[in-house]
Amino acid sequence: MRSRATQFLLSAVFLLLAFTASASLTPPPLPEVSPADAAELAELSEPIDWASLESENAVLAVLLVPPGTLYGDAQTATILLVPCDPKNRLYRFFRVGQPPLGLRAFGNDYTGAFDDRYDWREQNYTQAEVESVYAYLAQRDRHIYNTGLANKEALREQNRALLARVMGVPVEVVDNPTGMDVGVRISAFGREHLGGHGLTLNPLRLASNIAGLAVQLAGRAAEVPGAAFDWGFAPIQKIPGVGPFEGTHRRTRTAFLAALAHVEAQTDARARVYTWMHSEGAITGFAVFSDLSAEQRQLIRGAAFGPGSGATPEGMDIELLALRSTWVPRRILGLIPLINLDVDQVANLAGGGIMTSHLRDYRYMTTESFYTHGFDKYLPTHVRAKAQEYFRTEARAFLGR
Amino acid sequence: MDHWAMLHQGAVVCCVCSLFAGCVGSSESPEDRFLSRGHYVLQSKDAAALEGPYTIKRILGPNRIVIESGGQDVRVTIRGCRPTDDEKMNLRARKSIGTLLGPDGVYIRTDCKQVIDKSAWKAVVYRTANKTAIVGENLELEKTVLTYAMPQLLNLAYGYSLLDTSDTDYPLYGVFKEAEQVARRNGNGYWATHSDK
Repeated sequence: MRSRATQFLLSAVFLLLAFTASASLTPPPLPEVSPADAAELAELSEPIDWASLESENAVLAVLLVPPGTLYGDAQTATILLVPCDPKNRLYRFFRVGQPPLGLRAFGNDYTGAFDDRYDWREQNYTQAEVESVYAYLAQRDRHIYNTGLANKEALREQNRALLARVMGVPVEVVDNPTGMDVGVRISAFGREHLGGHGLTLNPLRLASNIAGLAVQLAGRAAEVPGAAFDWGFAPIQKIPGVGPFEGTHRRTRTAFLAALAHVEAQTDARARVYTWMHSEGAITGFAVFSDLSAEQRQLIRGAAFGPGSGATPEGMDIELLALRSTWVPRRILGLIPLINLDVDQVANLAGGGIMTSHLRDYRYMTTESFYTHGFDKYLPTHVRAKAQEYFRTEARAFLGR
Repeated sequence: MDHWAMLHQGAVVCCVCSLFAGCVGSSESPEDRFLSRGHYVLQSKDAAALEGPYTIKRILGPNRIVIESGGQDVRVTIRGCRPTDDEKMNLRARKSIGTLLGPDGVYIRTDCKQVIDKSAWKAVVYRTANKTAIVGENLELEKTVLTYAMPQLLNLAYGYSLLDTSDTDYPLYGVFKEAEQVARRNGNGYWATHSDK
């Protein structure tokens, strides 16, 4: 009896925790408005064709808003009207607050501003103009993110999504399953297929939970040799003639050829394949570029982050970028091989002798962070600057001012 | 000599041959080999030969662009190239010239520049290529250009443009002529469908 009460109590606590967790992940309910309500809420900057709202598509509109009312001090707000009840012409009404830069070309997947480090404002353009530029660029260009060594799938996807949001256009990650992923998958198997029965006194489920936990721990432990395998396997790619048969190289090549085919089919002479190459991803990327024709190479524009970036073929529109920590004196870090953040040395090792003289001109951005080589470290600085440059250059061409 | 020794010797010979073939063999096309020999890419140490950057405003055609110089629009004829009578080739040439459109502007080779009047020049034009960049306090990119590339040479070597033989008095004419010969010899671009080899 006592154990049942305990079981009930624990289950209740567990349910409460689960409910709280799920509630915190669920976005707050969105207000629903009719077109008439929306019109009353704010003066429309331009008339909306309400008939078009009867389609299934979401519609963007820019509202002029009296300052100090709904939207703080903002003069305008971009809203997204998503049909939820077309028959009665009811729409979900997204966006409260000042307009950030762009819906970033994600169409109906608008999620708003996400971080002051990455957002900025363009005073010369209206929100609608910004949207139109990003929508055009998303259709015209292709962006590829080449990841570094020893990544986990979740991290690759997280970086890809962040890069896409900073740049404002879709980004494709080149699929490079690594040794570390094996450990992750073992962990996931233990968690999802063996354990996961929650609090229970059922002996079979309890045993399954314990087995699941053991497999999860084994998976975690396997990540370390997985990373070691990745580091050990990477040099194989550098053996002349082997690279094209190696999986990551082949997938990278396939991704670039597909992107190039898309860009070559565009009539706009500004269309490009943009590449964002991190560390080992830069070495793989450059190995692939070496096999492309000069004509294909000139349609690629991009940035390479950190060690490995020095192997860039000459004549390509590629920028080399690096971060250096100011957290620990460099003379101390310089004593530790591979961790010394001395880009020249690491890149020489990683590049396997295919380095060019470019490294002499390698430039650094110093940072307070101890570990500088994570891809996310480059985003608030280099990538944001590149995103601004990308938008401003292309907006001038697209809008003619 | 026993069989094992013969096999061993044979294997060694095969390995050496393979390595040799790997070293001397190349999948590079003749036009890319020509471009990699130089001229297509200019190193930063030779950048004194260039002036710029000029803001490029638009592409007028496969061999004509508009740049801004001193607040005034200048129509630049890209020297050495003339369009073909094939629209597909012209589009490819235009796209190649389109690579000049970038945030860094374009550079003009001083020894090949001919000023016709204040709003019309003939020139050999480069874009920036390999760069390093640091980010300034206001998140502006401060770039150091390591190499520059010349798309018009690519157009000639790939057969997307024809050599302009009416204009020969500039130092790079010989290089452009050689590039067109590469295209003719290998039946590239325009020369794939025209018998004028």
